This record gives sequence, structure tokens and C-alpha cells, in this order.
Amino acid sequence: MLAPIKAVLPKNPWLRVVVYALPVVLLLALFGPALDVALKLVDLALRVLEPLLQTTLGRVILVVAVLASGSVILVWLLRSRVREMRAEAALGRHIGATAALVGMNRRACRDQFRRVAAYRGPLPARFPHIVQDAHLKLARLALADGDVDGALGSLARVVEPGLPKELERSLLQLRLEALRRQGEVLPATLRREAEAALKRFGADVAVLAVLRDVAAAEGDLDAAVDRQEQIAGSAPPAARVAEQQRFIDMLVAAGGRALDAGDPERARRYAKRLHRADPEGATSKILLGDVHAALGEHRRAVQEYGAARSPQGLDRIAELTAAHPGVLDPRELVACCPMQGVLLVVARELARAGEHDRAERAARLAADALGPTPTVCAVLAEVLELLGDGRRAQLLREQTVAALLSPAGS
Amino acid sequence: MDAMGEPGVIEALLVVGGVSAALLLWWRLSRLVRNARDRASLSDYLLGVEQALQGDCAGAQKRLAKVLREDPENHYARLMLGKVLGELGEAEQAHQQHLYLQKAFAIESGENELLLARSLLAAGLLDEAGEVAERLMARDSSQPHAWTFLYQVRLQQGDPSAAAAVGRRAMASMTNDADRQSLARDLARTYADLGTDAWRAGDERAAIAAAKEATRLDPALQQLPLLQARLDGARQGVDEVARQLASPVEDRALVAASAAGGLAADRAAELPMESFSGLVESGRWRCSACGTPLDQERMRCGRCGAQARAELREPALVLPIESPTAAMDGIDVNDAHVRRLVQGLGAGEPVAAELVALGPAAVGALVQAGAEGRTPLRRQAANILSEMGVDVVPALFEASERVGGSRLFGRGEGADGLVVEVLQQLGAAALPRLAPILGTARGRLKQVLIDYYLGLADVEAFQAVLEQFPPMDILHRINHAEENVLTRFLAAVPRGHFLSESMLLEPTFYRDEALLAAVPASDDPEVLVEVMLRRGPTRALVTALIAGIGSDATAPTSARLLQELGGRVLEHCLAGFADPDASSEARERLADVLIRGGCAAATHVAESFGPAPSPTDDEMRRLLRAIGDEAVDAMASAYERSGWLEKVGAGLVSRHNNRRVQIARALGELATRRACKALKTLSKRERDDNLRLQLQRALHVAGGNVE
Repeated sequence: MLAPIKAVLPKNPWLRVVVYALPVVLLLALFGPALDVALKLVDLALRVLEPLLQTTLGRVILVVAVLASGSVILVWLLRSRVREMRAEAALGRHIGATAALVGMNRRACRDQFRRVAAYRGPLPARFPHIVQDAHLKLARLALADGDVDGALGSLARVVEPGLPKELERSLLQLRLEALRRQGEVLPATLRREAEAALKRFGADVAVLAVLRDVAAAEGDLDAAVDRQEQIAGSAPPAARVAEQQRFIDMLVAAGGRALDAGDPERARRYAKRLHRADPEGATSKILLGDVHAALGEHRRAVQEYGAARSPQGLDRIAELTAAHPGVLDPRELVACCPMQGVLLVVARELARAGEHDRAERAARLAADALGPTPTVCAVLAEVLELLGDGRRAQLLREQTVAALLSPAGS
Repeated sequence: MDAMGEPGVIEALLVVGGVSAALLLWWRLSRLVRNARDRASLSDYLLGVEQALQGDCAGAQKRLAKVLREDPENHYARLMLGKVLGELGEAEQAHQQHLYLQKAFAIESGENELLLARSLLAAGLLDEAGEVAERLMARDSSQPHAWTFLYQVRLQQGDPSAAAAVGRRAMASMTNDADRQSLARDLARTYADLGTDAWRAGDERAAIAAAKEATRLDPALQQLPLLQARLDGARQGVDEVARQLASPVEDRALVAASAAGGLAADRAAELPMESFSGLVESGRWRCSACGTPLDQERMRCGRCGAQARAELREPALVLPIESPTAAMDGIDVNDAHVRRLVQGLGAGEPVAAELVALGPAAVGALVQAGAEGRTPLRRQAANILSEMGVDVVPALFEASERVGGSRLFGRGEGADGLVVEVLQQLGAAALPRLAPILGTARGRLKQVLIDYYLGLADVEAFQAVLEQFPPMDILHRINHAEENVLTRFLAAVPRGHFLSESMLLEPTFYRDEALLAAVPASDDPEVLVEVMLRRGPTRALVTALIAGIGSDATAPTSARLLQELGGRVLEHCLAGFADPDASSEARERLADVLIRGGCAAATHVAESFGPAPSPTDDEMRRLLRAIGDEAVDAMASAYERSGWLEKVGAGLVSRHNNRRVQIARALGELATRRACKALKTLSKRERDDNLRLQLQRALHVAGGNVE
């Protein structure tokens, strides 16, 4: 009903006060007694104020009262502006804290985020989640400092309903991480939460890492490897190399355990996955060789070890020939694994078999081809000992050490 | 204080204070508000930052890029975008964002410069990354993570000296004890690398200082024993230190067990890797950037952060064998392998050592190749066979017989030349191996054996040859022996030996010149002299004696023998004397022999004047003069004797010839009583006027001389 009048009134609040006060003054003027009453009240007020004006304390009280009442009136009059300004100020503080965080000024950002988190005033329309965001940032900082309880405290203060999905994702990530680090939550709870988070946000590396660790802790290697594969596929490129390496290590370990458990078929599957993960690496071939060795397919095992072109492959061949002497003829061994290093294995096996002449020739071939390296020295010394020539073995060691100690040789 | 007591002052101050506080609050609030209002796309900015923090780089990139499109002045959004781009592997774009901040907006932010350096490093620009980080550190040295980054950059650059300096600063800036300890261990390795570099450069003092620093930082560093040993080697001598460090074979198992922490027993079947009592670090791989040993083939070095595949420390172990069959043939030493090696020898491959090592197994193929191949290959084969030593001698002869028997036709030297060459190189050492095969040798190998024994110049050893082979065969080889070989052999013949008593006296022995040549070197020259005298003036001996008289070494023996052989050789001596090619010394020596030959020599000389005058006539006359009166009768009878032309001519041919003229002149020059008497007698008997005139002129000359 007053809307048309309000529309006509000036916009300035002071002028509005004057406009509002004018009819009242006119009314008082029309009614003298009433005015007298008003004057009496003024007189009464002056009588109260006069003693106060006589003393310094009184005057101070009066000044404070005037300033306070003035401020209150002012705030009341500008209450919407004040609300808006507070929200904007809180937002500005949050932005400043975020900038400090981006600029790696951790102390400043932590202080400011604390103040934003403690803010209870009106929320800025442009980003109404500043308090929740501040809590999340504080939790992240606390986790970075290793303060798991502090992080959990901050996370617990986050009001979830209405959070944008980005903040919700951070909340889940941080909560999972804090709970994992705290170590008192049951793994099942952790897994459930993580799976829920995964369902909500898809391939989140942090959530996957938690699931991987939980699976590994529960002994479910398959699940752990699957999770790590997902991590390696989803990790940002800068971290992908490390995650890929971890994936490979896990596959190797899982393959080894499968073999230990007497399940070569599972190990073979791991080997295939390894090959897909690292086609150029030696690990898949070595694992596949292990599978063949476990199945008694020694020739194929040696072929795989040889195809690995790795010292680990040579180690495996040496192990195989030591465990099953005579299972492969030296000629067959060299044909299956045509690497210079296999000559060392051949030399050792021939020496063990008592074929001194052939062993010596194999040792000489190996020494010519490989030079005085630590492995060559160790194996040839062993061969020479087996041939009963300890003196030459010692001489070989001395020569190799001398090569290490001379600048030209090293 | 008095002013404060004045009425109104406190109130005024209170009002001012209140108003100031209100203004300050206003200013502060308005600043915060302005901070917020200046930013556009605020929600995107804040959510983008959160996405970046939670690892959603793709989402963060999208949001922050949008923020920058609407609010290019949002430097923190740009900084974050650069970081996100870096994590997304888009180093070039990240570098662009950080460069904008630094150059276009003139933002001096340590974090931005560090990210700029990181983006440069990710783009593979090591030097530039180090330079930017160094600049940042010069301005703000309080950031441990920046120091750590620079440290890694220096390690990747392979500059341990700079890395050590940076690492020290990084350690000083760290507040976390665990981080500092970890860096100290790493820094110890860097100092050890530094010491190794100094040792290689020959700067022992710097190497010692670096080793000390490394020891201080991490006494348990694996690299230290090797560095210490190298320094000891530089001081005490490498061989000595190597001998000390190369522990006895028995100790190795112990050392290996301690190094592997008890795993040695489980891993005994593997190929062991020698640690040389801890000198060499374990790990078959190493970082290709900083050289840190790695236990497995890592994709990223944990020390320097280099994202490159690790490299093998012993790459030769996995190098392919070109031909597995050939390698195994080499181990089995079968025919194929040996043939391959010999072919390689012909092609100039360095297979000699392996062939030598093969010993008797390679002899057959070498002999075959030497017999069929050209001279360089035969020489190489001979060298290798001789390097194999005397043990291969029986195999050598066996192979030689086999190869000789399989030849289609006899062109070329065959295997015998090779055998001879080998035996020559082996020398007397082969003797014990040859004695057993003397009796079984056939064909040309017999000759080889005889030649070998001749070459040995050992008459006692030659006894075996005399016992095993027919004398004719031996003489045949002696006749064909090289002069120096035979000379050496003959010089060793003792008195009373079968050789001197029988074989050398055989008429089928043709090497008299060797006998003569052996005399100077012989222990008992009279043996050979006697042999030659007993052999008599054979054509070969006389030729040798006359030839030998020109040599200072054999001249006395030749002269003596010619003299002792007497009249049977005088004619040959005269022929040698008259030889225009003979040296003046030889002529003089032959003249001596002729002079000592007396009348017999004079007869030959007087008979030797030619039909026409020649320069040798004077020399002949000189000989006759030197012989003296003994020559007079010979000259007179030679004068009176008619030549075959005169006899055939029966007085139709003039007696006046050069021979008689020269004899007349010789008698005249002799000028002795007997000579004058002979001249007179000849003059009386001479019917030819011209000759008589010559005789009288000679007599006149002789008369003058006598007076």
C-alpha cells in the first residue's frame, strides 16, 4: 500500500528521515499541550545531562553514548549495505587466503582461512561456500602438516548439503585420507566410503589410492593391482611415470606371489598385464619365464629369460641351471638365450660338471667378450676355483681391482 | 599532562579515536571488498583452485583458463594454471603462463620463478632451469624446496661440484630433521662423486677433502671405500693396494654374505656380482643422469628426479651373441670352429690368440691353410704354430703328412715349408719331441727332419739322424742345405767323428765351399782341413779354394790347402791368377801359391803365354821372376817345346811367337847365371832370326843386369 509513496520519496535516507519527521513536528505544533509535554521531557533530559556535562567522566560517557547510538542508528539505517559489505569482506579475505595458498605462503593462508572458517555473517552471493571451502583448505593444510586430528576437526565442521560437487569431492578425498592416516577406522568403513566416493566421482586418483591401500592391507592383491592400474591410467602425466612404475612393481610382486602359491596361470595373466603395461621392459618376460620354469618348461623359460635382455634374466637362467643341472645342453642354452652374459653361465655349469677344458674355453670367450666387470670377475673366479686354479682367480680379482683403482681403467 | 586536564581535550580525543577507528574499519573492509569485487569469475577461480588441489587437473585447467579469459589480471589463477599445465605434462604452455607473470605483469614471485624453472626442466632445458632457479635463490634463499629443486637440477646436469654447493645451502635452509638427514646422506654421495672426479683429474688434495666431507655427512656411504681405495692407490701404488684389497678367495663368501645381509645363501645360484670387499656398490643399473646405483630398472631416478630409463652398469652382459653356434663351436673346439678361426685369420681378424690357445686341435687346419694359402697366411700360420710351443710338434708332422698325402699335384711349397718354418722358430726346444718321430717320418718330412738337425748344428743330436736315415739321403740334404746352415753344422764336426771320417769324404759330397767356410768358425779347424786334403783336389774344392782365397777369413786356409795340394791345383791357381775379374788381393795370394809351387808352377806359367801379347804377360813374367832359378829349366823346356800348330805345320809355321818372346824376356829379366846360360844355349840352338834376336836382346838385358 505504501509502495507508491515510497517510490515518490527521495532516495537519500537523510532526506527521507526529514520527510518522515515533518508531519510529526506539524502535528506537535498543532497540539500545544502535547508540545509542552515534549518540552518538559526535553527539559528533563537536559537536567539529567547537565550534571554529566560538568564532569569529564560524564562528558566521556556522553560522547561514547552519542557515538554508540549514532553508530547503531547508522548501522540500522545501512543494515543491508553493511550485510553486503561484510559478505564481500569475508569473500575478499577468502580470496586473499587462497592467493596465499597458491603462492605457497602457508602461515598467512592458514590464519586467514581460520578467520573465514569462523565467519558467521551473511554469505557472499557470488560464492556462498566460503566457510566450507575454508574448512576444507584448513583440513588440507593440516594433513600436509601431518595433523590428522586437526584435519578431521576441520572436515567435521563442513556442512555438506548444498556443497558444489568440486568441494564435495575434496571433502570426500580429504576425509578418506584423514581416516586412512588416522588408522582407527575399520577398513570396511573406509572401503565403503571410498567406493561411494568412486561411484560419485569416477576415477579419482586419491580415492583409488585409498582403495588400493585398503585392498593391499586386506591381502587382496588382485584388487590392489586393479586399483593401481586405474591410478596409473588416471594420474596426471607428471605423476604417471611414478604410478606406472608402482603398477609394474605391484604386478611383479603379485606374479611372484601367485607362483609361490602354486598358481602359474594367474602369474601368466599378470605377466600378460605386465607386457601391456611395459612392453619394452624386461619384467614381463622374466615373469613369464618364471611361469614356464614353474611348469617345468625349462627351454621356454630360458627363451623368455633371454628375450628379456636383462641381467635379471641371466640371474634366472643361472638359478635354473643350478637347480636343474644338465636340463639344458650348453649349446641349447646359448641358442635359447643368445646373450654374451650367458657364456658366464655356460662356463660355470661346465666347470661344475667337471668339463674343465670346455669350461675354460667358455670362460675365456666370456672374458674376451665382456671385459673385467664385477660380474665377470666373480663368475670367472668361481669357475677358476672349480677348475682348481685359485691362483688365477686371485690374479683376476687383483686385475679387476687394479682396473677400478686406476683412472684409465675406471 | 596539563593539556590533558583541560576540559574537552579527552572528549575530543575520544571522538577523534572513535572516528579514526571507524575510518580504519571502513578502509579495511573496503579493501577486502575491493579485493573481492575486482575479481571476475570468482566462483570458477575458487573452484578451479580446489580442483587443482584435489588432483582434477583437467577440470582445473578448464576453469582457470576460463577465469583468465574473463579476468586476465588474476595472477594467482595464472600461477595455478601454470602449475596445473605442468602436471598435465604441457611444459611449454606452463612455461608460457609463468613467463607472462614474470615479464608481462612484472610479478616478482618466488613461487612463479620456481614453477618457471620446473617447466623449463620438464621441457628438457636443464641449463635454463638451473639459471632461473639460481636467480631465484640469489634473491630469496629461504625456500628449502627451491634449494632442493636446484640441487636436483645440478645433479641432472652431472655437475657434482655445483650440486654439492647447492645441497649445503638446501640443508641449511631445512627445518625438518628427517629431511635434513636424508639430504645429508644424499649430499655425501655427491661429495663422493666430486672426490672421484677430482681423483680422475689428478687433484688428490681436492679428492681427499671431498672424501672427508662425504665421510662426515654419511660414514656408511657405500661409495666411500672405493674412493678411499683409489686415493690409497694413488699414494701407495695401484698394484699394491689392489693386492691388499683383492681378498683371498675363501673370504669372498663371507663378504658376499655380509654385503647381501644374509640373502647370499638364497641367491647363491644367481650370477654373483663381485663387490671386492665392499669396493663396488651393489645394483646392476644406474641413473643415466646422476650415476646413482639402482637396484632395478627404474623409469625415474629417486635422487635427481630424471625421468629416463636406468642404464645398465655392465651392458655387455646383455649384448647379443652374433652366432650362438659359432660361440658353442668355440667352446667345443670342433672342426667348424677351427675352420672358422683359420678363415678369420686369412681375413685379417684378430683370432691368433684363440688359435694359439686351442693348441693341437687347431694344428691340422693351420697346416692345411698354410699349405694352400699364400705366403702371408703361411707365415701367420707358422707364427701361431710356433707360439703353440713344442707340444704340437707331433701333431704338426702328422698334419703335414696328411696334407701332403692329399695333394693333387706337387706344385707349390705344400706343408713342408710351413713345417720347416715352424721348426726353425721353435729351435732346439723341439728336439725332444722330434726324436720319437724320426723313425716314422716319410717322404719329404724326412728331408725336413734332416734339415732341422743340420740347422741345429748339434753333431751329437745328429747321431740320431745317422742312425735312422740312409747316408745317401743325408748327403743329399747336406748337399742341398743352405750355406750358412751347413757351415754352422760343419764347424761343429769333431775330430774322429763318423762325418769327418766317412761321410764328408764321400765323392758325392759336393759342398766343399761349405767345408772351407766352416774352417774359421770351427773349434778344431784341422779336422776340416784334413777332410779337404783327404778329399783331394776335386773341382768343387779347388773352385772353393780359389774363390776363398779372395776372402780374408778363408784366405790362409785356402792358400795353405792349395799349396799342400801341390801341382794338381797349380794350373787352377794360374787360371785364377789370370782371371781378370779376380781381386788384386786374390791375385797376390794366388801368386804366392804359384811362386811356392816352384818349377811345376813355372812350367804351367811358361806354357800359359798366349799367341799374342797381352797385359797378363807382364804378370806372368813377374811370377817367373819371383820363382827364380827354379823356373829356368821349366822356361827353357817350354821354349823348346813346340806348340800343336807348329807340330801340325811341320815347319811351315813360324817359330817366332809370343810365348817364346815372353820366355826370352822373362829369362832376361831374371838375369841369373842359370838364366843367362839358358839364354845362351837357346840362342845357339835357335834357327829363327827374329827369335835369336829376341834371345840376344834378353841376354843383353840380363848381362846388363848381372853387371
